[in-house]
Amino acid sequence: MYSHMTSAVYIVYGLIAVNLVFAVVLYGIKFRNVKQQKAHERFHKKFKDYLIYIQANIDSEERLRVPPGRMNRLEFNLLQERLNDMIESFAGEQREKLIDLCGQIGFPTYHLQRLRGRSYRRKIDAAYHLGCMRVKEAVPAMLELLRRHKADSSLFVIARAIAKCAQDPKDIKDMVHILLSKGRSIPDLIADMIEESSIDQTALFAQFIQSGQPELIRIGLVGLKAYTAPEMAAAVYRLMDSSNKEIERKSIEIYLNSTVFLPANVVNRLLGHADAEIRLLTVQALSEHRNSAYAGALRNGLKDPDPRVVHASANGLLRMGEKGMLLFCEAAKDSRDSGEGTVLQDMIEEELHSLSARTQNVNYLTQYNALLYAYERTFGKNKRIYRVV
Amino acid sequence: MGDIIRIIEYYLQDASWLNGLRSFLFAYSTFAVCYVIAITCLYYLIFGLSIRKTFALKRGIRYNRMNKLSGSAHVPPVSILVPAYNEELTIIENVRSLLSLHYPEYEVIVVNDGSKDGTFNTMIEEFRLEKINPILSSDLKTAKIRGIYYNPEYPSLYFIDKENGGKADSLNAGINLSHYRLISTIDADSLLEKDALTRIARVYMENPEETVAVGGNVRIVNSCTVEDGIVKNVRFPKKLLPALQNVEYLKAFLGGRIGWSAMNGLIIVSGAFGVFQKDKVIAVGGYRGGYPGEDMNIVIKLHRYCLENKIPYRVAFCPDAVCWTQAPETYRILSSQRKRWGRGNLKNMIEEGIHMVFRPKYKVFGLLTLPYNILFETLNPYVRISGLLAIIGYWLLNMTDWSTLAIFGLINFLSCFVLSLGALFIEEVTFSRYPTVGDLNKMLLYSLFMFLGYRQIGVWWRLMGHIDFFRNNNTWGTMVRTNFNK
Amino acid sequence: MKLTVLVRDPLQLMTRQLRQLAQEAYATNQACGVILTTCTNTNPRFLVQLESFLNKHEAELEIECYFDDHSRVLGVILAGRKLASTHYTALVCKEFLERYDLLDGQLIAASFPESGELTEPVLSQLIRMVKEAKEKTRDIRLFVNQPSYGGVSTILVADTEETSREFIKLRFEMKGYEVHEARDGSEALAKFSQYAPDVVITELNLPVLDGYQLIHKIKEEHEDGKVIVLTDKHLTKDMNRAFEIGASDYVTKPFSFSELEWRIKRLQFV
Repeated sequence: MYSHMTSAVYIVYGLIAVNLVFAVVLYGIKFRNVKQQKAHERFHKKFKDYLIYIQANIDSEERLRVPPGRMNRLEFNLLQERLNDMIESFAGEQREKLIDLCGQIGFPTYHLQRLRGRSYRRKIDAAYHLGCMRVKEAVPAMLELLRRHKADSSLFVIARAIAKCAQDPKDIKDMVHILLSKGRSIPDLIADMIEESSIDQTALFAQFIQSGQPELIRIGLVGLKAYTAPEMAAAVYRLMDSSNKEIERKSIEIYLNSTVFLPANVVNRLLGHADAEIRLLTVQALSEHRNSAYAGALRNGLKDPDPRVVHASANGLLRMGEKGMLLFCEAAKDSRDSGEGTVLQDMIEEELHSLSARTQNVNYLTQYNALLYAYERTFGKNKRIYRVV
Repeated sequence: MGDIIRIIEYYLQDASWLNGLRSFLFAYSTFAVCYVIAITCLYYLIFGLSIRKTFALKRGIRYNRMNKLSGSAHVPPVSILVPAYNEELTIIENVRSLLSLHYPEYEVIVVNDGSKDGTFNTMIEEFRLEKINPILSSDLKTAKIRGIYYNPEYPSLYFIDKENGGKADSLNAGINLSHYRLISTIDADSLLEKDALTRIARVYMENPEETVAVGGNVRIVNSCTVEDGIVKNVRFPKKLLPALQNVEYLKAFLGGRIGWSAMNGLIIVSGAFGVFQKDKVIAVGGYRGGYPGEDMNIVIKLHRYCLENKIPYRVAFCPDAVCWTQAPETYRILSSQRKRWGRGNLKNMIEEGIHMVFRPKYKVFGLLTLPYNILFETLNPYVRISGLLAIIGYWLLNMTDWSTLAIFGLINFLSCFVLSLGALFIEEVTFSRYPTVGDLNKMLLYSLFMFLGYRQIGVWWRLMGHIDFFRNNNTWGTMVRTNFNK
Repeated sequence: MKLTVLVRDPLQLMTRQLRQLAQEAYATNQACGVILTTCTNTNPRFLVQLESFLNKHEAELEIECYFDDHSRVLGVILAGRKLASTHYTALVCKEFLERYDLLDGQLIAASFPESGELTEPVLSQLIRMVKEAKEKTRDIRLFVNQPSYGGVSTILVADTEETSREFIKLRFEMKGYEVHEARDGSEALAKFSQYAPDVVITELNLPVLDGYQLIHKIKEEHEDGKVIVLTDKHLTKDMNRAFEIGASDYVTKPFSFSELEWRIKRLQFV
């Protein structure tokens, strides 16, 4: 029992020591943080004029000059941070001037050296800063680092840095291939990274779409989402019957947003699609166009099994002018007569009701009158309808 | 009275009976020692993982520019669900704060859970909402919806008015209306940091298909200065109870959850702030209502669903995405909160945990998380009580060796204190939210205090919660929470 | 022996001398930079030290220093220097002056013809500014004597991000506009009513009252109020919404300041 006791007592002493060590480390870190904070404030005071100089003269034709006097290591790093912020906030020529200034101060050289060093922590830090400064010489070393890196959060830091620095689309493609080889499907993140680069993004995304590899196609589709040029429609047309649901969906979205006129066969195919989401997207796109040529298709939409599609078709028809409203009323009457209920008719009456409250606005008044006319033509005069003079 | 003592003395002198008891107590002490060693080892494992992940975390935070991400078009859209019950005083401020997050595309769905006060009217008046008739999906059953309100001037705001059904029911109603693939649950009285959603989105975007849930960090806002929905000055809480809770949360979130999420064994995503994949939530049947603990319940169900269907997944934790919450300042409210948690925990373990524990099919979750939870959290009160009884037994039988007990207690305390320091270390290295050295002093002090009664009371509250569970077991409880004050 | 005792205004004297020096520099080069400040010391030796200090930083600097004992105004003329270099040299000067504890007020940097016409009134205005600003702050101001373009002279900037606000305020004030700042939507609305700016530059994500709300309220009360949106949101639907609600223009961040300025000037013709 006693030997246990003594060893137990030693354990207690040991633990007390461990605790003290941890506590000391903790306070050490705290003091360091506090000191750093004060150093930050000193830096801000000292460099305030210089930073104003940069901001004030960023548009002038002259080169920006390095800060007068010497900088210590901390000031060097803090200035780098500020310049990073500014580079990210500005674009075009102003950004170029800031990058040139960084070159003069010596930041790129410093970080390139660290990138080729041995400490992992420093390499990542260097990659990040080189990315912010768009240093193209760093790309090969960063690609190498990316290749050998494991798939965790820092992987994307390096990838993003490569995207920012790269001047050659081939480097970006390499970067994308390496990322995809790590096994993750991250089209949104990759598209977001590519958009930070200075290469011709549309061209690259278009290439991806035509590449035939599903992962690349997905990235391309995400990247082109915001582009609504008619050429896009042609480019994605083929993809619309892809077996991959994501690709199918995204390409249909782009197609719907970029064509001015949707051919009838496409409309029918999409409206007959098994996936209700796709039908809904189609109906919404047709409604946006406000072209009464689509009214017939929308009327078919009223019979859709999915209530959202019915609802969207109804809204579309109501905003499509007289022809649309008339078709809607007819469909409502048919459905009532055939015993399917008065859901559609109720919708019309509700719309009338809500429009009648807004008739100060000329547009709404016109709509109200048109709808009322269509309604009465189909259903006859109905006392339930609130009349607006 | 004297008779009773004589009877006890008589029995105490009966040797054979006593010997049996002695050996039993001795065996028990072995068990107790093993129990404590096991729990300590597990703690160390978790904390070790947390600390190991700290530096990777720090890099992720430092080298990702949140500003850029906040304006990007590729960040996934999120539906923020805000269940509200009797929040008329603060709902406007909180909704306005949620409407001005730094996030590209999102919607805020406020669900009025049949409030008895002016919550409904306040919202309608302030935002001039009008009734609309959208199509709701009927994936989840909820209490009756009285109306849905909207104003195109605030295109991201939707307001559901429904009959009382509890927080889980409100969340389910919000899910039915939501238009996006990701949902985020927020408490009506919590304050979300402007970039919190962006930070979680970053974690999500790094693995969108597999990330089924991401939990945020909950911090205590007592004694901090808040202006316009932004925490301006972070201060350590002045009052005793919030201060203790603050340290407790730091230890649990930073020391515990980071480690658990590294192993994909995270059992809970805080109800105050979490983001989920909507389709998975619907697949597991939505939130379970009628009982507290729905936040742990949904995560357990998600683990189970993904493991049973062999879907690769992860439940992540994003410690830099911060949601500030008011901690209870009075004993009464705190104790009722903890009793609720105890009750919910027990119910979850009985309903879900039992089926998965110790089965290899459920990997880390079944083999590590659930045993940990059941043995060291749920059953903890009973072990402690039995320990107490055993000590009384020792004392009566003169088996006590006070010095051994003292040493043992000291070892236990010191090894646990190391973990508290570990959590504070993570806080200092990665976040450093508390600016002064005085704050650090207080954190250490309160970490110490935690062992001098706070933890013990916590165990007591948990036990009370269990008793409530057993008492209410036969009643079909639609637990109408009187307020969301925690 | 002529003894002419003339009582002259020392200010005028200084102005004339400065002008002379500046003209000389002006005559040989295209531009001329002027730095003015007030000092504590009257030791003429430090002028030489200053010149050598400046030359250390830039070998080819053509400097002429002038110091008026009475008003303790120090003037440095830089031949052939535009505003940017003059500003930089002002930085170096300030460092020198602070090192030897000589600085006693603001520094004003100007360059002709960028800052205006090289005339006596302008120079005397400069000198007056330097003397009046004594003891208030120690920063460097740039002098730009441009008449504000007809129509737009007051601007309100609403943005939560301080760096953004500061930059815009700094640049527009340099160009002669009057700039007011607001950190959130309701402050912006209050300041709009108070100062009636000609143009409002706003972010979309503002606390309390967001950008759209702000635009809407401004348009409600003042139909011809002009609001430019300056934001990092690139989504087309945000742009559409902003224009629908009445914004006059939409600029995305990162932005070029000259583009922003050009768009403001264009607004008067819309």
